[in-house]
Amino acid sequence: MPEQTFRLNGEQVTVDIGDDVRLLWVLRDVLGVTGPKYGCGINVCKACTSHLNGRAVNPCAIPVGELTPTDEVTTIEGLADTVSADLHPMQQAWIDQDVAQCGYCQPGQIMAAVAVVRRAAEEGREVTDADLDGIRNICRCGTYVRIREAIRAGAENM
Amino acid sequence: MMGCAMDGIALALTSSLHLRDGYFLEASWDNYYYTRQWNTPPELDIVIMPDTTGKPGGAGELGVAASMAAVACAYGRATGTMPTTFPVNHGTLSFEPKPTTPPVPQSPTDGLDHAY
Repeated sequence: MPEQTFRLNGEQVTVDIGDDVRLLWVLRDVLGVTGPKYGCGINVCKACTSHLNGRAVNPCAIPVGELTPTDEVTTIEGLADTVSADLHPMQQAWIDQDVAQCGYCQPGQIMAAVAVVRRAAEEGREVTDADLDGIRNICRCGTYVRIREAIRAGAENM
Repeated sequence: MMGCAMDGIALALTSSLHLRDGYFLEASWDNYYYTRQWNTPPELDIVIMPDTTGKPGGAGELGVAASMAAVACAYGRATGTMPTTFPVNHGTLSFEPKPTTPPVPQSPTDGLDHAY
């Protein structure tokens, strides 16, 4: 088995597993990091949304062999550490707005939200309705309105 | 109630299953068109009425039928034709059904191309 080395939530990790195994299963089944949720496995539900080098990606669609030793994978478990706080401002906004119903999609929603806010900030602007409309993450409970409110609130503290 | 409104939108317009030769053609969340952010109402006010009985009760899915009817009426007003079957987009199969026999399609490999 080939060795796969990358950075996960601030630490170097190495696993023995085939190049073509998708990162989501390496995270969940090999490394025990279950924040990224398995919803569809074909990159349409977005429940597994995590960050690769600070940008949102879906690990179900990334063969682990494509990662290099310096690639930094951040899951919901490591999000707060990126701001050196107990909770990331977006997580706090999620709690303040009481967003979650069943909660299954929420790690992915939060990781997507942070990426959308960062992208807008890099472009020197506020988050727009178009940005929010572009988030594909499914919430089968239908908490979309609270998600939008939380993203706007969280963005103010990022 | 928020979820009821989202279900009502989906049921009126897009979310259905197509049964053909014993198989449902919908095989993913990209085929079964539930409400997404882009057809979410920009504003939603939910008003909880005062209690009248003193007994505990639940709202359940009470809001689904009302919001579906409201969306259907809005569709009728907007298009000038009142829909009589639902969801209104059911007649158009707008995706390519996935295979119904093994092997199951593998997970995609182009995830890095879609980073944002």
